Amino acid sequence: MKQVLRIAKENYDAKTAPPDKLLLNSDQECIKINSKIVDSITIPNLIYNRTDGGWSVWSGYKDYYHNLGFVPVFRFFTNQGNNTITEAPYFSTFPKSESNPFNTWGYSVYCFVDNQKVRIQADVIYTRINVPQTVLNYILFIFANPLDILPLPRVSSEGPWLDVVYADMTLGVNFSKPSPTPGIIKDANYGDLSFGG
Amino acid sequence: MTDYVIASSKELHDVKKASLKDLNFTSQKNLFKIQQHGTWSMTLYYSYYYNSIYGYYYHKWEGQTSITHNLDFAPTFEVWGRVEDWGENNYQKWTYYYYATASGPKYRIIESNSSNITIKYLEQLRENLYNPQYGHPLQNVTIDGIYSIYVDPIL
Repeated sequence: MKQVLRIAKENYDAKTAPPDKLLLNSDQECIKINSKIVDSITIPNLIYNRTDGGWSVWSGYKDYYHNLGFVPVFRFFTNQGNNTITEAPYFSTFPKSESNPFNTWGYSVYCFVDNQKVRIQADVIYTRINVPQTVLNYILFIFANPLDILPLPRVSSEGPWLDVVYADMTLGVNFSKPSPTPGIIKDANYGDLSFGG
Repeated sequence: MTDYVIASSKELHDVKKASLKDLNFTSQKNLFKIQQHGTWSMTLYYSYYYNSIYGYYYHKWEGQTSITHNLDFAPTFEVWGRVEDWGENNYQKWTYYYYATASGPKYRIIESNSSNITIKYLEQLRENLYNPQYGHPLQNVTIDGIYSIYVDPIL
């Protein structure tokens, strides 16, 4: 017999409460915090040396290997000091002075994730100004839940010439990818399958 | 001493052997626990002014609001918002941005500290004879949104 663990919110019966009235339901997947990383990335002192007045760029990153074997859900925050937290991505530009606002620099900091690591990357752009060394503090949560890549959608609703059934492929006059000439299948090739018109 | 664990696996998986991704939950991993959640709104006050630094006239909408939590630490949070008057009829996850460009300085700041979540919003559009305000009404507008604050410290 299947065993279920349910904890209901106050004034609700755990046996009959709907899912949104439960604090915990062992039948529903929870977002599990696998790891929490508090770290920083440092933008070095950057010297502007272009003579054409154009933008210079700098990028740096840090990788965190999660060893989960799948692409995980994650959340990423930046700490702007005094425990003031914002959720990234974070971007800012700082005019050098009010008398010369076009001498400026700014940065963005953001995440990449794959099935091995999370990469925190900072990109800096600057023009007509040097960039002071700057420490970007951040907090990264990595969850033990896959960030599933969704399969291609079934597109038959888009027209009578579109009908692709994944895993259980149905062939016929309606079998096609989106056609450049809707209504007429001229030529379609799928792996070792081919159709001529 | 034996470590006791409460865990639940997904269908067709043995709870004693299942990997993390095949567990619905496990007492070995923390979960975000909701401290409070609800709705918020704020008024963006409209003004029109000349910016002598950039040398242009600007339409400006600016507002700020706070959500008190009294946790005594900066919590993890999520904020969603929309500006219905500007055609945004779906709630979007709000994260930080700050652009100080001459074409339209703007920011969206959501900060968590030990007493509250503060939401600040600024939209500015440079006066343009051909498309003066991109459909934005030249008046005060209201933003509304939803939020969750978790009892888990972010630091």
